[in-house]
Amino acid sequence: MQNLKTVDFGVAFTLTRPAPADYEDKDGNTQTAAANEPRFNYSNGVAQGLMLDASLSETAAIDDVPLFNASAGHWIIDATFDDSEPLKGMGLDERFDGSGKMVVSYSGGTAKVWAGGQAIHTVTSYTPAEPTHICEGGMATIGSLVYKPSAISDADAAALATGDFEIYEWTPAELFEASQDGAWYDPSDLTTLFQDAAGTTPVTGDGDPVGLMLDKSGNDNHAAQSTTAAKPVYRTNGTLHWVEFDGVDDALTTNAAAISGLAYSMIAAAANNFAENGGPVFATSNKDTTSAALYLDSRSSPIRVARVGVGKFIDRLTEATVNQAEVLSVSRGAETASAWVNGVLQGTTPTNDSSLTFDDFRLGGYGIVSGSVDFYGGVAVSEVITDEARNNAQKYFADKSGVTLS
Amino acid sequence: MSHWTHVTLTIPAEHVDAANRLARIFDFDTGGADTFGVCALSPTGETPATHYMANTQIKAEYLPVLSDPEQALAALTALADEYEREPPIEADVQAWCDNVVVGTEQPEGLVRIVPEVPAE
Repeated sequence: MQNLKTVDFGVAFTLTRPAPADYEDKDGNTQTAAANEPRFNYSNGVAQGLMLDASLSETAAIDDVPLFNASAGHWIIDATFDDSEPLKGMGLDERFDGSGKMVVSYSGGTAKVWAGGQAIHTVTSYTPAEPTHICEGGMATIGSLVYKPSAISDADAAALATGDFEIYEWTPAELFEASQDGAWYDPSDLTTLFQDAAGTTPVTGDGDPVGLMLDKSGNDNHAAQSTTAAKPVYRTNGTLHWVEFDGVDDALTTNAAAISGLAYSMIAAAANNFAENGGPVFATSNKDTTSAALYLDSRSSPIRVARVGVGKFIDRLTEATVNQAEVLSVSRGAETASAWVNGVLQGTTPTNDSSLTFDDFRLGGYGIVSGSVDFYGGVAVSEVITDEARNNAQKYFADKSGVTLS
Repeated sequence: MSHWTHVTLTIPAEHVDAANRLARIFDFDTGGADTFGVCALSPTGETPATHYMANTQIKAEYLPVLSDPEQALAALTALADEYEREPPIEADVQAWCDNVVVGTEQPEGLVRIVPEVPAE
């Protein structure tokens, strides 16, 4: 049996095994661990384990895995994960929630994550790789981590994996956990779509008009349209789901302002469905000049992706491609605003301008400007969200629209 | 499978009020009276508007009714009764059927009156 020998915890920790480890804890105090103490116990007598909070940029890099076996091996992790990806870099590419003992095995071109006595995640066509970090993202508490450069049978892995874990699935609901103002629309959830504005006739299939799209944020900012000619149309190819705005007169509108102030973030997945233009995806009022807006625009030069103040736009770097979905993001704070397309920063501009209108919230158009837009889903929230939250949101809506982020 | 189909309806500007009165009856939802008026057209793309267009989903069984005065009047009278709305005016129905252009795209020779760039 060969245990992990050297783990470099970056700025937080340096821990050497198998000799008794002197290491610096996250408070900068030198700790001495006895040989029989848990590997990452930085608080003698308390056995808290190594706590990592990605929102505080706390990381635990692994410099090297001695005797790493590129054919078969397994990891035994005793940990608590909250939206954290264990063994970042080895190719699991999933985040987990839960606690206890997890086993990660790889051999014969397959990697498996074991918990609760069963495989809870399998990576096929797997190429073994050394992890670069013990974990990444969210919150994690690592009690111990062991690597063994040998195969383990499924039965043994299942027996060892006594922890209770599940794959973490981020949803935009997390942006509203502190009761933030905003809205979240999800055309893939047919329980939120109705043909009439009153919400009595459900949308059931491709081609149905959408007169009401319910807000899933908990804020009841439902978007409606009572004129059938101005209703977008529900579309699906069996895998993806979207609401098609015709660029003529279609728009969905809330009764009240969904976002309430000059600090906000919007993320949406959409495609320009017409060769000559795209148009607004989100807008905060019917005002042509003072609404905050997220555009999918390809008809003018410069080409806008967001309006963040009166006459203040952020331009996109390249023109949108017709019928190709993109994930659009904008965050506006007190000092600056930035916008992204498919995760790529398009620009940042000062926002020393407070004149924006927040009368209501609109999808697909405002004023006399209508969007030729296929809308795969989006969220707006009344705050500047963290980079991690924006990345999660972009990935979420990329999955909803078949987009590969850069 | 959806029984909705797509249609583009274009009406001369002088008949917009009649068209919206009929659309108020025809629309299963409450906002039919605002069907025509947003999308303005003219031969040059400049104001004034000579036509208005609606791009909409319609139940397929109503397609043959759109330009036949007799069928249109019967269908609209039945819908007015079903939805408890004012019945159609015969002159409105005649004006509609005589002038509406039914298609799937914007009629040739007419250009939308829209801003060239997103409004600032």
